[in-house]
Parts: sequence; C-alpha cells; structure tokens
Amino acid sequence: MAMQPHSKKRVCYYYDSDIGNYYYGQGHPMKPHRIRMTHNLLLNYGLYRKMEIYRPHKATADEMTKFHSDDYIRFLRSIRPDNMSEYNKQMQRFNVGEDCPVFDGLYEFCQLSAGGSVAAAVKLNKQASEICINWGGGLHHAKKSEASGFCYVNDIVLGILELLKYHQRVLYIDIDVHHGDGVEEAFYTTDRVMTVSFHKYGEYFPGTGDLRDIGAGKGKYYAVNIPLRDGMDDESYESIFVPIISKVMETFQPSAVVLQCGADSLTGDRLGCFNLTVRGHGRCVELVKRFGLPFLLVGGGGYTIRNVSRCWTYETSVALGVEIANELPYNDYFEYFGPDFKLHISPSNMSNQNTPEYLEKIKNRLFENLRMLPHAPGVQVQAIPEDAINDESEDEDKIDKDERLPQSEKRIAADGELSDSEDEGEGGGGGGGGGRRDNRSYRAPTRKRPRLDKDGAGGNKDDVKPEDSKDDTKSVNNLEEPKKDLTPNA
Amino acid sequence: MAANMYRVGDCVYFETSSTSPYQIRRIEELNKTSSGNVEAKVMCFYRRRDLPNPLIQLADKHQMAQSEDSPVAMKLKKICLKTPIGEEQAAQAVLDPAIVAMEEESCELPVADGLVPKQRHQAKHRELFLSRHVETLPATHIRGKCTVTLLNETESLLSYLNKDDAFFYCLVFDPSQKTLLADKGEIRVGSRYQTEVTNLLKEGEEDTRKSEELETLVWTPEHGLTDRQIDQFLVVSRSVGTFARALDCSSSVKQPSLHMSAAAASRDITLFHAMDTLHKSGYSIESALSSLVPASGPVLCRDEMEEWSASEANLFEEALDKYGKDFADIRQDFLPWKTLKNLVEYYYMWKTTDRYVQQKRVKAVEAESKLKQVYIPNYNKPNPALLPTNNGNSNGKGTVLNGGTNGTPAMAPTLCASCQVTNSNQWYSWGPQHLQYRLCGPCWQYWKKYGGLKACLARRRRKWYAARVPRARRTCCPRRIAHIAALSSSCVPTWRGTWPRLTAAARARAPS
Ligand SMILES: [Zn+2]
Ligand SMILES: [Zn+2]
Repeated sequence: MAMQPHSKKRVCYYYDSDIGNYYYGQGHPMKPHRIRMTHNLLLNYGLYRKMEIYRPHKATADEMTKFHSDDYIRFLRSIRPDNMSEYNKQMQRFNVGEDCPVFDGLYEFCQLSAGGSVAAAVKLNKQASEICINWGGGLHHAKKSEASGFCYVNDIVLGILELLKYHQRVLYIDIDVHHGDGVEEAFYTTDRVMTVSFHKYGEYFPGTGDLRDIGAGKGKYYAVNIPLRDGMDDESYESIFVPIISKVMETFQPSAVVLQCGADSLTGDRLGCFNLTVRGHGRCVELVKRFGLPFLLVGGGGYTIRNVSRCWTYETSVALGVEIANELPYNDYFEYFGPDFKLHISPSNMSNQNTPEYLEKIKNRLFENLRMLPHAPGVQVQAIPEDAINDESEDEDKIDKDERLPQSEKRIAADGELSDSEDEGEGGGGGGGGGRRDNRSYRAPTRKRPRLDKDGAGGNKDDVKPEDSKDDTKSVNNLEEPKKDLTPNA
Repeated sequence: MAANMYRVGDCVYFETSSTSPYQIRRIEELNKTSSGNVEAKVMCFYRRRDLPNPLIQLADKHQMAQSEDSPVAMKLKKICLKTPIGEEQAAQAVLDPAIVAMEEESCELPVADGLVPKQRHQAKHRELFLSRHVETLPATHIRGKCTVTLLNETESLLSYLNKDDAFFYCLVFDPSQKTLLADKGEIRVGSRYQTEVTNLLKEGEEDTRKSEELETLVWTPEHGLTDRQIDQFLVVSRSVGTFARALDCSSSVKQPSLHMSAAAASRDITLFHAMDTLHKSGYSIESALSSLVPASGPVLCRDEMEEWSASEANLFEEALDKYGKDFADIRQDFLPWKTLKNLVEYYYMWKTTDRYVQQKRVKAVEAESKLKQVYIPNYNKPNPALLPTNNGNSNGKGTVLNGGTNGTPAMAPTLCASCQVTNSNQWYSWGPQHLQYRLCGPCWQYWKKYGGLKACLARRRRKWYAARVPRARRTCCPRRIAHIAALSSSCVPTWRGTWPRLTAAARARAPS
C-alpha cells in the first residue's frame, strides 16, 4: 500500500535528541527531560511514523537578535557555570541567576528551542506543512533583554516574526497557566499580532495579564487577557475558550495561528493551580485546529512531567487526527506513569473558583473590547469548519501497543506513582482512565469537509494559497464553509 | 464529608481566640507532627480592621487614584467614602491633609453603585489584604472554608455580599514595613521592550529563509510502508540487538539470560535507531536490514542504562546520597569519566529501576508527614462567650436584669448590640465584660466571620448607647463609643518572621 487513505493534516514535528539532557539544576522544576518522555511515547504509540520528523538547526545569534537585544544574546552566549563570577552585574541586569539559572549548555538549549520554532514557522510559510509542532519551544516569558520565568530566548516571538513575512495578521493563543507576558510585551503596540492569553491572575507569576491590559498605541485592543482563578476545570475552560476564540477569529481574522500549549494548566501541576485534564487541554488544540489555518504548536510550562508528556503526546495525536489508546505503550520511562499507566488523567476534587457568572462577565467585557477592532470588510462570521478529526477509519488508526518482549524484570509493582520526589508535586494522581470524562465523546459529526489536501483529494479552491496569504485582503480564508458554532459536538 | 476535608490551597477560617473574629488563612502545607497532630503552614490575609488606619486610608486613596475608567475603583471609592467615617478614624490624630481633603470632596459624590448603606457597610467586611506572611497553626483550629479572590473589575461587590464566606482583595499588605502594594506587574512600552515587526514580503521579494538550512529530515510519513511492515522491521531490529548482545562479552555478563538480553534490546534506543536506519535506507526494508548487519557484526545500540557497570551505578547512588542531584559535583568527585549528559540521561533512566523505587519508598515514609488534605470535623464546643440560657428564658423578652446583687454576673441584657433584636436562641457576650454588650446568634456568627457588626454601626450604636447607659455614666461618651468601635480593630496580630520584598524574583517560583 502507498499513501495514507485519508486526507489528514500534514504534521511536521521538531525534536533534537539532546534536548532531554539539559538540566536546569537541582530542585529546579523545569525539566527538559519531559520533552524526551513525550518523544518516546510518540514513538511507541506509533505516532512518530505518521509525521515528518525534523531535527532543528541551532538558531544563530543573528536569528535571535531579530527580537532580542545584541548585548543580551552576547551575554547568553558567553555565560557558563564556570565563569559566572565575572558576570555578576550582567546577570542582574538580564535577570539570570535565580529562576533562570546558568546551567551547562544553556545557550545550546536556547538555540535548539528557538531553532525549532523558527524552522517550523518557515515551514508553514512555504506551505510545506499545515501543522508544525515544537514541544521544545513555547518559552513565553522571555523578554527582549531579559530572562524570566525559566525562559531565556523567546522562540515564539521569533517564530511569529517569521510568520509575519507571509501573514498580515498572526494570532497567538496561550493556554499555559501563566500569563504569556513575553509574547504580549513584544507585540504590545502592533495590530498585526493579537495575543490571547488564558491564565491564572492574582498573586501569581508574572503578575501581568489583567483584563485591563489591552495593548497600546496601534496595538490597543490587540492584547486579550483572560484572568482566571484557581480550579479551572475542563468545562469552565471550554466555556470561555470557545466564545473568546470564535470572536477573536471573527474579528481579527488571522491567517496563521500559534498556540502555546503550556501544560502547567493541567490538574496536579507542581506549580499550577488549574484542574484541567489532558482531554480538556487537548480540546483547545482540537478547536483551534478546526479553523484550518497554518498552525504552530509549541510547548511551554509543565512541571509534573509525567502529565506534561501525556498531554503533549495526546495533543500530537489530535494534531494528526489519530486516535490513540488510553493504555500507555511500554517505553523507557514507563514506570513514571504508574500506578495506572494510562494516558488520560482525572481532575482532582479542588474547588473551582471561577463561577459561571464570573466567566460570563469576563467574556462580555472582552467582547466589548473586541468590538473596538476595525472589521475586515465583507466578512461577518468566522466559520468553524467541521473537522475530519475523528472521521478516519478505525482499524487503520487505532494504534495498538507495541507488543514487545516481556519486560517483567524492569517493571515495578503498581504500588505508587513514580515521581521526581522533591521535584514533583504529588497532585493529580496522574491517571484513572474509566472516569466519566474519559467516556465523553468528542467525535465530530460524520460529514466531512473538503479540505486542502496535499494529495490532491478534495482540495478546496478557496483554501488559502501561499500567494493569497501575502495579501491582506485575501488572507481571510475558509469562511465559506458551512457556518457552525464552535460548540462541543456532543 | 467533602466540606470538612481541607486541602492545601484552601482558604479557611482559623479560630485563635474565642472572642475575636476568625483569622483568614490560606493553607500552604499540612504537616503531621511527631505527636500525631496536624500543623498547617498558612498564609495570612488581613482584614481592614487589622490594618493601621493611615493604611486603610491609603488603600482607599489608591482605589480612587486608579484610572477613572475602572468601574471597580469607582465602586470601591464610593463604598469606602460613603461609609460614615468610623469614630476610631476620627480619633486618629495624624492624617494626611491631602487625603482628608480628597475624602471630604469625594463624600459629596452621589451614590450610584446601587448599594444601600447597609450593604456598603458590610462590603467593607469582605475586603481582605493579601500578605506574604506565613505562620503555623494547629489544624484543629480550622473552623470552616471561605473563598478569597482578587476583585475583578467586572464584579459587583454585591456578588460577594450575596455569597456566604466570600471575600475579595485588591492589595498586598506588608505587615513589617506597614505598606500596601498592588500585586500587579506591568507591560512596558518602548523600543527596549517591543520587537520590530517584520514587514510582509513584497511582491516578488525573495524570502532568504531556506528550510534546508534550518532543519534535517529524519523521518517522513511518505514512506510507502505499512504499519505492519514497520512493526516487523522493529521486531527484527530487536532480534538483531538480542543476538548482538549474545555475541558481546560485556553484555552477556550484564544480561545472563536470553530474556534479559531481549529486554535490553527492546529499549527505545534500538527502536529509534531502527527508524533512522529505515529512513536512511530510503524506506527499503531490504537495504535497512543489511545495514543492521554490517560486515563488522550485528548492530548493538546501548543507552546509558545499559552502558553503566554495576560499580558505576553504585558510585552514582552513593554520590546522589551525598550531593543530591548536583550532577556537576557528582561528576567531579565520583564519576569524572562520564559527561554531564551521561549523568543526566542515566539519572532519568535510573529512576525507573527497582533500586530507585526502594529509595523512594524510604523517602515516601519521610514524606508521609506532608499531607495533601486533612479532615477536621465540625467544631461543636460552645464558645465561652455564649451566655447560659435561663431555663427557657432565652428569649427573655424585655426582661432586663441589671447587675446581680450578690455577686452573680449580670444576666444578659437581651438586646442585640448589632441588629437590636430581642429575640434569639443564643446570646453572646461581646466586648469588654463590664460593658455587657450582647450579640444575637446570627450577629455573633457574622462578627466571627466578617470581623464587624452586621448592622451599620455608628448611628445605631449611639442610639443604643443613649438608650442603655444612664445619663450619669455617659461622661465619656464619645471616647466610649470610639472604644466600642475600636473593639473591632483591637486584635491586630503580631508579626513574626521576615518579610520578603515583593519583587519579580520573590513572587512565587515562576514558570513558563
Ligand atoms: Zn443581632
Ligand atoms: Zn507556565
């Protein structure tokens, strides 16, 4: 047999096998290892073989200074654990040392993270891919001349700058539990990038992201902040995510989207305070994907690493439009996922301080702001294209666990979850398949929409073409599809 | 059951004194002590009454100074200023004249927030001040849950009043410096902060970016192979790996059984190598197969887990014990022939082993003292301020028994000092004993939770006072009234510990 039988999204995935060995330091919650754990899950779920896999180049200083200041990048390039003492003053100035420590290979780590997002953006620009994924990216706190919140180089800003060569308007969405302040600040005064961040606000890092922060100058109304409280669950999240994103799509009409998938908004995160499950988090990916725009997915926060890798694995499957089993496949880090060894996790019993009334009021206020945007002519409603996400034939895509040789010696009794002891919070329990939520169907209606298809099957003449996307007025696409609200299908 | 289960992160009432209002705390940690009790490490919220007066005025001023387009600032401004300035505030000697002027001026503002005076009065009881002050309290002093949320401009204060046990905060109080801070970062504007925005490529302008320079393809799904074929190839790769281990002396020592060799050959490194081989062979199984078995012998892929000898593993564990996860130190003093990357990779694999799990069990016993939640049953003991009921006379209509003659304490004057009802199932003694103030049950509960009297104080109390206190004893009237009001603020806690400055770095450990 030759081609894949279905018109699926062409997904490009960026990964460097070195990434997992960068180490922020003892007790530091940021663990690049989670990206490797994700990678190994993807391999053993059989998702790896369905994507284009790229090793990214190491972004050069030249590329990084497209956003960052020269002296800051020069500093990052020079600083090492063994010469730190010579850089006291600069370390202070660039906020490197505490939350953002100097560690072995720091600069290379930044190069790989940024290199992936830049390469991915270029890929999208060339129309060589519909969805690009860089779980090593998403470092949304990094500022022009300052490290912040475990982030040094802002790969997202660099990626968006690349997209802006071909796209008049780029939408940035951030579902990390923390405010995406680095990206927001970088584009605070432009109307070509809209930043939309959903985050915990109030007595929380980084302290920005108030409802009233809406952008400045030409960028006024192009920063959208959704301040949330502890305990956001899947249902609440969707209830605010769907209307906001639909309205943003309708009013801003971007021609490319970047989604930061920080997984610290998951239940039981060591630093987070939300109560999302992997499904609820992945739902955002699914919803954004449905708009059918060139789509860049990046990582971000996420400090209970077994759940981070669960989440990004699931989201990769969502991007691919492939269903995967709840039973985790065996892999080098299998023991991390005990005691249940399932993909999906259950929410905790924490209370949700975001009442429907609160969310409603936030939503209405944001709608008022979005109404201030100049409307692109001739288009009223942003359609939410139905997605073929779950239409694929079952047998082909059900990816079974790789039936490897028995590994009994290495397996440990399921008597406790494996965690990074002091490094990892215990929350979440990390699993529990069979819960009610796990049975929920996210199956889309069976009607399939014709879409851009690299194999020529069912290409839609009105879908965005590279030439079109350069043109402001034509950049609005796939609005011709049957109108459908971005509401849950089930 | 769930209501009595207190989790880390919950905001709760703590009773540290039976006669004072509850303290509002957020549980940061729950620790089991050696004696079996549970201690809660908590973060303190302060009520308005806990703050020095000048600060309260500053807080209100801050709200006023907030941008005019903030409805909440407006709302708060009205609330704070339209409430009659308490006697205790009037008694405050040192006032910033500017603030006074501002207040007087603002007092003229019409009330447009839709709150009646009583609601405005009560809204003050719902305002808290966040602090970074942490203390330790016995968990048994927990008296119930409450919620504390950052006031959002879209919210009406009424929404808090309409909900029991709901509080809001706007500002952060530093009890040692006696300062208030707004917990808000800012997005900075200027060329030092924003990026230059790339222009759209012009018609015919060349994009200098070449994907070939930015990435290396290591796998494509356009391979023409079926899943089955790939799976088969993976099995073959593992078989080759197993055979390679049989031929390799060092391996056969490590994996004495065929079974173990096969398990070792099934690790991800072999699979990744197999995929790479397929890709490099242009997805021809045949050619991939031949590169698995070059002239030099069958391919053997070993990761750190397998690479390390038993003695190295022992050294590592010993080092881990000594240095924790400071891999640079471990490398330097224990395993200098390894690279840092070797150590990190090994460490994450080692965590899947039985040896780690054993170690973890030991740690788990230690960690047992850290609890995620604790069950505290409802507190049923009567408060010492509860007055004994006089056989069915608990509602003692209008009966006023003034000071007993033979030394028996005065019977409750059964008029609530707050709401002035005369009818209640329970009466509580409130305030200094000699003043014989009484609160009805609901008003007592309100006082404990919200730290104030339910009813609008000043006028009522004056009236009540006038009615209850014989003219002859009224000589110190204004001061006495001030005293009553001050009862509400007499319980300013003492500060312990140090006060971390509110800087970006000092905020909760931060994240991406
Ligand atoms: Zn009363
Ligand atoms: Zn985060």
